[in-house]
Amino acid sequence: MTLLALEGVGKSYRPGHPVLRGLDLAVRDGEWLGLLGQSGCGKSTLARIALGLERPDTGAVLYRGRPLAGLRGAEARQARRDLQLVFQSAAVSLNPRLTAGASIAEPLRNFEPLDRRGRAARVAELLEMVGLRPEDAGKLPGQFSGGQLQRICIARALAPTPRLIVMDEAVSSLDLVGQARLLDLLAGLRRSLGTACLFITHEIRLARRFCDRVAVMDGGRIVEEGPAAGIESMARHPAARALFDAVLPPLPPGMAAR
Amino acid sequence: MTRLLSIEDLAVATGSGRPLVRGVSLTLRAGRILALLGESGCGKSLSLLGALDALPPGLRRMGGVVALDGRPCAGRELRGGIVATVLQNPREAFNPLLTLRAHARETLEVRKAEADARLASALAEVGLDDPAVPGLLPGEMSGGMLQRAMIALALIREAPFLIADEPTTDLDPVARARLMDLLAGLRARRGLGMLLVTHDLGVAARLADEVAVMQGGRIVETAPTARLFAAPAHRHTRDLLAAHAMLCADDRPPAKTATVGAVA
Ligand SMILES: Nc1ncnc2c1ncn2[C@@H]1O[C@H](COP(=O)(O)OP(=O)(O)OP(=O)(O)O)[C@@H](O)[C@H]1O
Ligand SMILES: Nc1ncnc2c1ncn2[C@@H]1O[C@H](COP(=O)(O)OP(=O)(O)OP(=O)(O)O)[C@@H](O)[C@H]1O
Ligand SMILES: [Mg+2]
Ligand SMILES: [Mg+2]
Repeated sequence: MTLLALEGVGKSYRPGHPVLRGLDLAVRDGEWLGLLGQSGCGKSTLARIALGLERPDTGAVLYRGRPLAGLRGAEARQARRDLQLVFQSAAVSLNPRLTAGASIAEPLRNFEPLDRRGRAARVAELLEMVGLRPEDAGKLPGQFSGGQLQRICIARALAPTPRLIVMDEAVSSLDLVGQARLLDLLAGLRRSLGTACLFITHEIRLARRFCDRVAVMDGGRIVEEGPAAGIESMARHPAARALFDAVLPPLPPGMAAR
Repeated sequence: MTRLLSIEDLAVATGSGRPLVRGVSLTLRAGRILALLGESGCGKSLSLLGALDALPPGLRRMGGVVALDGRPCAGRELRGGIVATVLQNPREAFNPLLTLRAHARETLEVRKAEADARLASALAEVGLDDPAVPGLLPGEMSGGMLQRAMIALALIREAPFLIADEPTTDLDPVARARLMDLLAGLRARRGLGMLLVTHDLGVAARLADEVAVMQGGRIVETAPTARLFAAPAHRHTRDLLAAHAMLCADDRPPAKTATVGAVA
């Protein structure tokens, strides 16, 4: 079943410069969809619109078949809980004056009937899940490295057990081992809870490894969509081809891959 | 002309004395690119900030010497004119109320028209040639646009060295390849010496002459790039290379591109 759908979504910030132009995209329950595209093509804009944080100029976002913007009361609350976004720049999406623990506890306070002890325990559990230590709960954002901040943002998004997590370059500052571990963690949640993911990334190899399907954006629309395996050889659209062909080889020039 | 920027035995600790970076030595040479790898949180950014005397409040540099052609100097003498820097989080490095054009005018301290012209050509070099870009505020730019804008601003002063912390994380493959070509060109034409912190082993492979690997606040291995990829000595280096190889294992077999076998 379709969890979230964008239908004919248009958006522009400057007259005459549309960012999204009648874009259609759907994520199914439990599905992992990779979203690729040139820098500046509108992926983060799409993410904000998909979560209802920004209004599209035209078109609609449907959550389980119903317009997101029309939901009220308990249903709107449920949608806010079910859809979580990990923003592209971790450092600025965290309040610099809140400890990591307080940031992660915020969605718990809103959505879970937990007392203080229960919340603290859940925060500790979430920190460990994303590869940090429970005692990191007391530190401020300024005391973490770039990759550690991204882990905090992922923990915060996972706190209310969403149905869909939108990851906007959410592991881009992590080393490869850290990226693989975190994505394995999310893949585990998908197996146990059916959590879907819209995975916005410039790392084609990560999308290929972790997603079911991959979509490529260009000129404000989806121009290519298909199964993640073999996407590089199937892509026809010039914008998609350009991305796939530009991926840096894994080894120094002159060294053959074994 | 400046040839050598050396960081020796650098240490960084918290106010209470807990060490975060220890005994870090790195050498930047004109016309050479050094890549710094290491797992998240191992101390890469703090090493750079420590060397430049730009540590955040609460942290202290505990020792170490930074020298320019053998002459010890303070980090603040280096920033800007001698060492151009690209910080890890572009959005934090910008003043949200200033357009890119205003940033360039502030950085350059030359006539407005000249600052504007130099900004335009630097932006074109990083692939931001839309004439609207200099007039945008940071909040109006995408992640990758900001990252490239920051690189353009770092390059316009034509400093002999560049230190860049994860400069490619928000770039698509085309923009990334283009930046690689730009940096390789600057190394060849201007003899720019660089230190690139990156977790992308493809970037290190494409561009670096030498690679240093960090773990737990220390440098555990430094080697010429080809040797590091072919015969990693430290266990941590081998782990990073193994993760990289696993991720690349499903790559399409390379087309007719280089499998020359120059390196054994
Ligand atoms: N608040 C805003 N005001 C004006 N223009 C904006 C705003 N937000 C985004 N834009 C413009 O919209 C376009 C798309 O930006 P967006 O951040 O969605 O791109 P992106 O695909 O996420 O890029 P990247 O891969 O670099 O993160 C860009 O041209 C950008 O300048
Ligand atoms: N102000 C601070 N107070 C205390 N500890 C800090 C502070 N800033 C950073 N740290 C810690 O120092 C260590 C090194 O941080 P640094 O930012 O140098 O890591 P990094 O190698 O750049 O990581 P990344 O690749 O994730 O950016 C981290 O474990 C971090 O938690
Ligand atoms: Mg973006
Ligand atoms: Mg860092």
